[in-house]
Formats: sequence, C-alpha cells, structure tokens
Amino acid sequence: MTVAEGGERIQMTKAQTDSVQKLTQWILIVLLAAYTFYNLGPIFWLIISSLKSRADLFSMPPVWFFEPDLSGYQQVFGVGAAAESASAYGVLDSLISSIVVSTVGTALAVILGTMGGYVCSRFNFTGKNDFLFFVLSTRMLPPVAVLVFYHLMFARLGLADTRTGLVLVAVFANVGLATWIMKGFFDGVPKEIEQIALVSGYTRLYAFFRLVLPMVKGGIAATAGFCFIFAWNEFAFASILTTTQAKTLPVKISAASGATGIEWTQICAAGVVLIIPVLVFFYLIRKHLLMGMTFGVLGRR
Amino acid sequence: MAKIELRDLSISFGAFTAVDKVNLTVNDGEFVVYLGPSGCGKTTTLRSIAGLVDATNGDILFDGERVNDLKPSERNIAMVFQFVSLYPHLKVRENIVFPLKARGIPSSEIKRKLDWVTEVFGLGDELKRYPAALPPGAKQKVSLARAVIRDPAVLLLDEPLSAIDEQFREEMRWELGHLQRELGVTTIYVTHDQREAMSLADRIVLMNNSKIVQVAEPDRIFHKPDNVFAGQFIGSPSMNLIDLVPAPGGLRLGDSAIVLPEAAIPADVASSRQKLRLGVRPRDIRLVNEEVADGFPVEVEDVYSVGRERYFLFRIGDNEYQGVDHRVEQGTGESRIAFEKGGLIFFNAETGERVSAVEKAA
Repeated sequence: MTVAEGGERIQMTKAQTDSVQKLTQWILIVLLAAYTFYNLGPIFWLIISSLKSRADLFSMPPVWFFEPDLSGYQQVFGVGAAAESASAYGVLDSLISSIVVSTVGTALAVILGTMGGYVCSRFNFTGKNDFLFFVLSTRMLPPVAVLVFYHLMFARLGLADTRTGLVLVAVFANVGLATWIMKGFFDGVPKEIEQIALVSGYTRLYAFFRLVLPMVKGGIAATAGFCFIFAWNEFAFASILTTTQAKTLPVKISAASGATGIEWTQICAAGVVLIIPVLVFFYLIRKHLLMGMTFGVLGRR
Repeated sequence: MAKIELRDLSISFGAFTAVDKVNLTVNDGEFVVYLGPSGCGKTTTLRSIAGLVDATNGDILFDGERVNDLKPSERNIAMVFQFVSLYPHLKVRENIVFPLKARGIPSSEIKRKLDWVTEVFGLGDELKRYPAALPPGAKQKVSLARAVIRDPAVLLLDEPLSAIDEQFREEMRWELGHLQRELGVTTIYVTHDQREAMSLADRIVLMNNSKIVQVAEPDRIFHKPDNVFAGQFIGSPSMNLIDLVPAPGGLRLGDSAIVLPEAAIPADVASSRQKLRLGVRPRDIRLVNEEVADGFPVEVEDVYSVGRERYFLFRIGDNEYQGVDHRVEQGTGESRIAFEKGGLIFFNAETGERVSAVEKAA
C-alpha cells in the first residue's frame, strides 16, 4: 500500500466521523429544544397570561397580540386603580408576609445550621450520631402528619396566624438540612486551618470567624439558597396556621376567588411575582455556588 | 526553651488506647525523634504536647509546670504539620508573620524577625507571592519559617518532610538539623522514616502499639536494640532472626545442622539458660571461601545488585534469610557464609527482650 492510499483511507474515515458527529449534534439540539420548551413553555404562558385582560385571557383561539393589562400586578402590589378592588384585598400583605417569613426564617436556619454543622464536624460528643440522625429526621417528617397538632399548639401559644409562628416553622423545617449541608462543607475544610491558628496563639472563635467561615461562604450561599426555596414555597403549614393576618403569597393565590369568580389575572401575576425572588436570589449567589472551596494549597489532595 | 516531661501519659479515644502510660523526659534544647509504624501513637503524643488532643490520664510538664489544662495558644509552642498547611488567601509574608500578629507585636519588631527568618530560609524572592505559586519544598520552608519566627519554647514537627519530593527531602533534612542546632530550641519530631530519625535525632523514641519500646541515641538503638521489634524496625534491610536450639558444643541454627560454636556466644548469653533467638543484620553476613574457619555452608537462592552492593537470599534449614555483601562476586547455588564478629544479637525467644550487651567490633 502506498502512502497516498493510506492517507485517502484516513480522510474517508474522517469525513464519515464528521457526518456522524454532525447528526448526533443535531439530534441533541432538537432534544434540548424540546426539553427547553417543555420546561419554559408553561412559564412563558404564565407570563403572557398575567399581562392579559380577563377578556383576552378567555378568548378562543388564544390571542397572541393584545393590549397589556397590568391590573393583575396592580392588585398584587397594591397600586393603581385595581388596588382598590375587593379582590386585591390582602394580596400585598401576603407578599410581604412571604418575604418576611422566608428571609428571616432562612437567615435564622442558616445561622443555627452553620454553628451546628461546625460543632458536628469538629467536635466529638456523646450521642453525636444520634443527634445528627435526629436533626435530619425533622426533614423526613411529612407535614400533613403533624399539621393538626401544630395548629392546636400554635393556637394555645398565640402563634397562630402570626408571621413569628411561620418563621418558627421555617426555621424548624430548614435547620436540620442546613446543619447537614454545612457539616459537609466544614468537613471539606482541613482541620489544620484551625490548628495552625490555635498553636499560633489565636482563639478558636478567631479561627472560626476569620479563617474557616470565609472558606465556606460558597457553602453558606448554597445552604441559604436551599432553605430560601423551601421557605418561599412552603404551603402546607402556612395554609393551616394562618387565617387572615399572616397569609403567605402561595396560600393567598390558592384562595384567590373573589366576588367575580376566580381571579385568573391576579393569580398569574402573583405566580410571576413568586418566581422572581428565587431567580434574583440565585442570580446573586451564583458565583459562590460555583466557587471552589480551597485553592488546592490546603488539605491532603 | 523548655524541658518537657511526660508522666504516665495515656490518651484514649473511646475504647481505643492510642497512647498507653508513656513516660519521657526531653531535655532543654534536645532534638528528640518519635519513630514508629503508622498508628503507633507517635502523632497523638505530639498533638497532646501541642494541646490539640486532651490527655486522658497522666501529666504533661513544661519546665516542671503542668500544662494539661493550658490551651495550645498558651503553651508557647510552634507546630509544623505533615501536609503543607499555608493559608492560600494570604501571601507568603502574611503567612510567616501570622503568629506574631496574634500577639500584637510592634511592626518594627515584626519586620526585624521577618528579615531574620527570610535570611535563614532564603525566602527573599517568595515573600510577595501566594503559596499556590510555590513548589512543595518552598511551601514547607514557609511553614517552618512561620513556626520558628516567634522563638517558641518547643518546636513540634509532624512528619514535615513526607510531602516533599525525595530529592529535596535529603537537602531539607540537613537544613533542618542545622537550624535546630543554631536555634537550640527543644524539638520533637515525628516520623516513620528511620533514615530521618537516625540522621536528625539526639535521641530516638521508638514506639509501637501505643507504648514506648526504647529510648536511646541513634547509635545505641541500632547496635543495642532492647528487643526484637527495635532490632527489626531499625536498619534496612531488616535484621534476620534465627531460632537457636541447644546442641552439643554450642547452639544449632533453627532446623539446620549448623551449630554456632560456644566460642562465638558471649558468656552471659550462654549462662542465661533461656530459649534464644539470634538477630543478625544482613550487612553483618559475609560470603566467604573454604579457608575461613568459622564459615558454614548455605544454599544461595537469589542475588541482585544495588549499585555497589549485592543482596543475596539464602537458606538455612527451612527458612530464608537475607545478606548484603560487596566483596564477593556470587551467583546462586552452594556457598559459604560467616557472621561478622560482634554482629550477633541474642534475644529471649519468648519475651523478645535482648539478652546481653553486645559490643560492636571496631
């Protein structure tokens, strides 16, 4: 065989692999497009529905070009003419409730979880494994199983239908998960970090706040993200434990039927509003989520 | 500078005893090396001296004062860890002065000390870089610089050279020895590498199974191991052990027909009336020819060369032993060997303890 023949054969094979590669690429693109549509389609539908007037919303076939109608948003945020309507009553309050309960609940759960996770990562104490299991088991509990008893307890304690009560629920529901996630992140930080500081004359508190915490800030951001989503989306407890004063937005939406029937425009607008904070939150912490924990200098890799 | 005493020190983790009733005195300015297989308790002992691990029982004393209840930061110690542990977010300079910053030392003093350690370790060019940009050897130098910059009373080193490439390790070992003598700081060094121990130590503390096996100068621990473990752990290749059986005219080697004549056995060993086991280091075994009177026949099974030395595997009775010689060209097959005079170490076969003092032939 000559060299030229050999070269040609290789080129043929190369052309074939190229076309196979191109085909695979196209199949993947089509599959991804379908999957994207499957995921984003409903959200797109939600967004345009939130901008339609009642008449446009129910027109068949669906209209694609319409005069944007912001009455749904006006009702949710309590501004403009629609804010005065009977169906808008309490919607803004419920949005505020949601924000307060989620942020305060997340903050407390993350602070407690960070401290608990550090202790569980660094210290040995009697019953540590039982403690860790107990902490996690709070997450396994189906809310429905204890709802009634929560309701009775909260009613007796004066916590029913208060934001404080819902914050406590959010902390209870999330602190276990936060402890576990943070323990994992602390386990990834070499113990030498503190030990050097300790033998160099620093206190453990200094080592914890100044050296260890900065190394796990990505972990804290991730933990906060998870806790925030759970708190923001929490429905079961909020629906049973609130009546008028402290309803969260998900609960309010589920009951958004006014004098004129179900308030679809308002529901859609509130739905969009529900999505946005989670998006914003993750946009803000995206850098920390991706950031490596240490830079390969420390530890035993 | 400080003298360290460990009195009946025991450390347990649950049911596991990592350190079992250890007694030791380290003199002021002494370089003591803890040597032993992994898991023998040497690192745990070091950590308890640092205050990173609590003693379960017993006392740790610095200059006669009990320090068990002092925090690591109050013990005036410095420690270098096995794995390079510099803070990646701090430049080399900040890493080195880290312990000084803890004490609120004035910046002129910090500057003076920094200049001094930079000079000692030759780190001038690296000060403004981040640790990630340094090779492993330089990183560990920075760790050492950080440890000695504040004149600690005690320097604790936990296998500081094991993360460094072989070629730099030798060099660092010399430098470390130099530095310790220059500073005169009481140093405790943990390693499982007998070469490091032999070359650095004023005294070696040999540990096994949570207990101290022997404490002695490197020379003494090599030539007069207290027991079979010390004999076998120190020296490479490892010491041969041959069971001895009383026979007419001397002691028979294992299940062979070879008899070690009475003339070769020290009087106190011969009179001890114990079941004996003979220890011979491979380098104390010579290949000899017919003319040598105290030689005896063996079957050489395998031979290989390492540079100038020839390692050979031979058989006495049913057991294989190793020898090292550089004088004789030798293939496999029938041969004769002789034990170097004074290279014989006798152990009690039951307790493993050495039976008599053996003086090495000059």
